[in-house]
Amino acid sequence: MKRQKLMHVTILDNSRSEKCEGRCGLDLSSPGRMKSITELLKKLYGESVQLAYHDLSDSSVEDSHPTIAGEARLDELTLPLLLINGKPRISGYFDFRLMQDVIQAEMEIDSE
Amino acid sequence: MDLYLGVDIGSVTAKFALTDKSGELVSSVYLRTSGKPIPAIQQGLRQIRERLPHDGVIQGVGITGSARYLAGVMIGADVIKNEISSQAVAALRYVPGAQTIIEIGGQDSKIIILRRGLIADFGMNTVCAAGTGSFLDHQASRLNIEIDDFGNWAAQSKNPVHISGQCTVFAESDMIHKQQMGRAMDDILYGLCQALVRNYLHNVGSGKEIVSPIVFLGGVAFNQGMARAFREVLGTESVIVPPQHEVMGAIGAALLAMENRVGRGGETKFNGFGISEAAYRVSSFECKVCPSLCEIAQISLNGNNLARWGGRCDLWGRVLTG
Repeated sequence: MKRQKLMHVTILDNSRSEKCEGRCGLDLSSPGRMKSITELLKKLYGESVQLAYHDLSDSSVEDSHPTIAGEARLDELTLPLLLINGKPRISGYFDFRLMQDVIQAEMEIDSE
Repeated sequence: MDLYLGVDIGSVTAKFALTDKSGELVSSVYLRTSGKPIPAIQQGLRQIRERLPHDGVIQGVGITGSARYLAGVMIGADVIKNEISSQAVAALRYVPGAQTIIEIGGQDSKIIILRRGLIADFGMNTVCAAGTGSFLDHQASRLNIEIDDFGNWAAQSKNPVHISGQCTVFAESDMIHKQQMGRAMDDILYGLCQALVRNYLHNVGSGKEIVSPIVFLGGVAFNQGMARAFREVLGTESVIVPPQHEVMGAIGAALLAMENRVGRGGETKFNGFGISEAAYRVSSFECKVCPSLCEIAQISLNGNNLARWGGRCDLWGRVLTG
């Protein structure tokens, strides 16, 4: 059986920035929400998908994602930003269904 | 005659394509899902059966779209693929050398970057409705214009107005304001097309290397105003809208089914056109796995559960379909 490659799903957001009042997307700045989404991903994909959240209001994020954090600050990329293995896949609000669509597409394309 | 069936079941529309063994399109069906995927699948199959050549035999089935796992169980799929792979395969057949695919559907949009015939990068829409076909539908309805006429109006615009496009609420109030100011309908409609294109490029297209030839796919590509706006904003005439743009995902799924058949051989898993008359039963229950408490729908036939769908994740779909 082909072993599933490890996929890093990274969310970059700024918890202190102005948010759309529609509140349609996932807000992973809450530890409780982050925990439940991490558990859900684990149920779906086991250990092959790793989720991380970085808050751009914390200046240390610049060290881990300098280019993307810079582009987000310059408003070239809309926050929140969902990255898969470092590549931007969704720029703007997303829900769990969209996150899963991107993960699924990435897995299928990767296995082709 | 050997035929391959491709099905693309989205949240707003269902698309069906029949291709022959050389990959040429034989027939297609495009219809509204209206939030009811099962009747849409059954209706689409009935229409495809009516158009089937008398000696036609389905040799393979490929399925894509957001309800692909549900449709895969109902129809009997040989291949189930995401929309990105399916759109890319079809676009490259109709526009060899395509470098960028812009796809805007009823409730989603995506960008696919192709290099040397392979998927090099992609991006998907946000959860916000701004920039999708449903928003255009809503505005057409509000303005009492047939959605089919929307593009013709927009294409005639000479002095487009500036519409705020980052939010549907602001866009709508901006349009109402421009109407009250007495601006011409064609200028307002084209202004809206420009706003949606700016929004798409700022969100879905941000950080992507958009190079021509650009292929514009999906139901929104029917709208000539949107194609015109993409050409103007991107500064290139090379935004190609293929004749079968609205069913390209289904064509791609059929091509992938053909590729699978040629590569692996064997019998098709197609359940036959009889399923279009089957009496499926739909029920629902509440999922308690996470705090979202989603209502999960399940479909059964003759007492056997076939598939589940409808939650915020695909957890229950996977329980049955793997």
